[in-house]
Parts: sequence; C-alpha cells; structure tokens
Amino acid sequence: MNSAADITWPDLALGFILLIIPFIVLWYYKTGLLKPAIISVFRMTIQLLFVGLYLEYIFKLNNMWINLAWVLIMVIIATITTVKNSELYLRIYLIPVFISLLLSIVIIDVYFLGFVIKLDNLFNAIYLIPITGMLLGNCIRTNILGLSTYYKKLQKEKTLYRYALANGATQREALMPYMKAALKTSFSPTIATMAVVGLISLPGMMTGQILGGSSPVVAIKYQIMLMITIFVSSIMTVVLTIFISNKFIFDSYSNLKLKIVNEK
Amino acid sequence: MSQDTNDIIVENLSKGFNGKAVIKALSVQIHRGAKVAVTGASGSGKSTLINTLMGFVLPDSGSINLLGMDLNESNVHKIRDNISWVPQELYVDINNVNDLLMLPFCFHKNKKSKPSKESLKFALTRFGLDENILNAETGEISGGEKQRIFLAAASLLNRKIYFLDEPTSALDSDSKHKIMDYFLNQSKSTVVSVTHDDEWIKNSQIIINMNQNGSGE
Repeated sequence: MNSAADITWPDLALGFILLIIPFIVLWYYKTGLLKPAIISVFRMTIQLLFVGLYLEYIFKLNNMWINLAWVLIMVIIATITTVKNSELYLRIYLIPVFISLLLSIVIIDVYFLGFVIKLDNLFNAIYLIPITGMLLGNCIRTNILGLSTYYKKLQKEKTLYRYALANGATQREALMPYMKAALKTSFSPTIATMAVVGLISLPGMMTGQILGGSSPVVAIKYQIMLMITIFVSSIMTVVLTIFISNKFIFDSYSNLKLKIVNEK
Repeated sequence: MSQDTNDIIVENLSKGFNGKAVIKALSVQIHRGAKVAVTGASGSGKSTLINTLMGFVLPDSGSINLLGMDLNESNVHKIRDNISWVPQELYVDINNVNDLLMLPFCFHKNKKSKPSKESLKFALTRFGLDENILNAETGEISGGEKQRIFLAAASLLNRKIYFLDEPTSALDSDSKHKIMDYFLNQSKSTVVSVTHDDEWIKNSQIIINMNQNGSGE
C-alpha cells in the first residue's frame, strides 16, 4: 500500500476556509469564544508545524537520549497542563502528578513496546514518541476530570470525611467516596467510548495508520492495544497521583490542610 | 479526680483564629458517663471546642486527654475509634435512607456491631421513626428525620464518648425528648453536646459556657 498523499501548502490553506463556519456561529451568537477560538487554531497550527519539523529531525537522528529528553519534556508539559486545568495548586500537585505520569508512561511504554510489539530498540523514535504522546494526551484528559472531582469534592464535603473518621473509619475508608467519584467521573467516558469504537467512530491512530499505508488489520491491532494502554495508564495516573498527593495534603492527624483547590 | 475515672481531661486549652482567641485557657475534667452541655452564642467557639477534642482542629496550647490517652498524632486514631460524632448537618451523596443509616457500619471497625433487623427497628422506634423510613429516598425525608437517622446510627455504635452538635436543632418537642431521654441516660457513655436547648442544658451535669472564653463550671 502507498502512504498518504501529501497535502500541498496551498491546499492546507484551502482547508482553513472551513473554519469560517464555526467562526461565524461563534460570532453571531456572541459567545465570546471567537477570539479564543482564533488564538487556539493559530496555536494549534504553529505547534503542530513546529512539532512536525522537529519530529522529522528527531526521527532522522533517532538518538536514544534525544528521544528520552523529548518524552521527558512531554511529561513536564502534560503535568503542568493537568495541574492548571484541574484548578489545583502547582506547588502541592506538581511533584505527585509528574511522578505518576512518568511512572505510568514508563511502565506502559516498556510493556507495550518491549513485550507486546517486541521492539529491538525500545527507544525507537517512530514508536516511542507518537505512542507516548497519545498516552499522555489521554492521561491529561482523564487526570483533569479525576483530580478535580476528587479534590473539589473533598474540600466541599469535608464534614463527611470528618464524620467517617469520627465514627470508626480508617483514612482509606473515609476517602473511599471521593476516590469512587473521581474514578466514575473520569472513566465513564473512556469506558463508553471503548464500547462503541469502530461502530460510530474510527479512532485517530487507526485512521492515521491506514492513511500511512498499513493494512486495516494491523491498524486495528494497534488501535486495540492503544485503547487498552490508554485505559491502563490513565487509571494508574489518577490513582497514583491521588495516593502520592494524599501524603502532602493531610497532616499527621489525617486532617485536610486548609486549602487544596484553587477555586475561582 | 484521678485520670482513671475521667474520660476527658482538658488542661489550659487555647485556640485562636487570625489573632482572635476562641478558646482561652480552658481546663475541665469530665468524668466517665458525664453529660456535658457546651453553650454560648454562635461564633463563640462551641464547634471549635468539639473539633479540637476530636483532633480535627489542633490547639495552640494546652493538652487534651481522652480515655486515658493524650490526644496526639500517635493516639488520635485510637481515640477516634472510641467516639462517635454527629454533626448538625451533613450532606451525603447517598440516595437511600437505609444506606445512609448503615454508612458507619461499612467501616471495618464497626462491622462487628452491624445491627440486626430487630435492633435497627428498635433504634428507629426509640427516636420516633417508623422502620419504613429505611425504604425512603434521602431527598424525601425532612431535616429532623435525617438528624434522627444519624443519631440512631450513632446509638447503635455503642461508643464510650459521643460528641453531638446541636442534636435537637431540627426536632419537634416530642422527638427532642426521645433523643434527650436516650443520650442523657446512657450511664456508660460520656456525652458532650453543643446545644442551645434549655432543657438539655438543665439536665446536663457539666456546662461549658464558651461566652466566658471557655471557662468550665
């Protein structure tokens, strides 16, 4: 099979004309979203162009250390994005989120690339970087949902937490409702998506692979593995972040330190 | 009085917020089985005192001993295992009244005291509730009924010390007397209640008036 037809730069510009539709809708209904939308489209384009050029260079070079450094940068950006979007305090959650993301990514990458695909070189850029990127992108989404649910609920329903502790619960038991809510909020969409994937949507990676010249069967195998690894890594990240940050947000009396969520 | 017969010993307890003293050098000894009323205007520190006694608020100075154990980070969990606290209001995301009442019995420590159907019915009747309330949705019951559900759960835990925050605030006179009759006649349990109710105060052996900066009588 041949790889995807290139899109020329003028043709790419032609594609941008489609944006007139959402821009008119956002402007007409005075949503206030027109400016942010234009900025976002601009940023998305610049970032992707930059990454495209950068990745071409990285793939050509394919140096283990550069690849690892790139993964590390992706984890750092994912950490900051997660903490900021969850309205959490950077100084409290930066380290827990970073450790959890890094740990989940390392475990899943090693397992998937080393044991499932059985790559000779685990650090091969054309596998390591796109797969880590996809895992991280999905981890960010579930992590933001999970963490903000957990900590906001905990701050809002502090009396229930105390009620549990003052009626015989261990700290783990007292935190159970918050963990349950966090997991339900963040993973219900993932679970629902898995149930309909292929029927009403063709996932990005699979589409990309088919366009890139892979056979649909190979593309589907990758997609199945990717859905599984996304599910596993994002659940690991949410749970690990909560476990690690619990060490920072409670004092030795199991009391919640004053303010844990930066709500506006 | 020796420490053996006192369930709660507070010595020189002080706590302030933003430079304002809420509890000022409070000392009090509460013997086993005593009924204690914590009184005072709103904002005078009644709930702060109870929260401090349970280790949820840490004192600025002074010491607290509960059940012969100093309240510190190594004993706080052992102490909390022997108490039951019923807050004035509690929002719980539970739809069913039965699950609401059984909430404390989901905890490992309370599994042994999980009530039988009979004792559950008995506890509800004792506080003027019909057993059918267990089938109701939490949103369908009144504030007073909800308060009695939590009090019934607490009564089934058989704790050495009870902390009750305004236990009769949402109740009519009949229900109030039922709660009072039960908690103020528990010879084996010490009951510390934040209350504005004159009758409850009159029937308590120790009154801590927080208006006087927490000087116990």
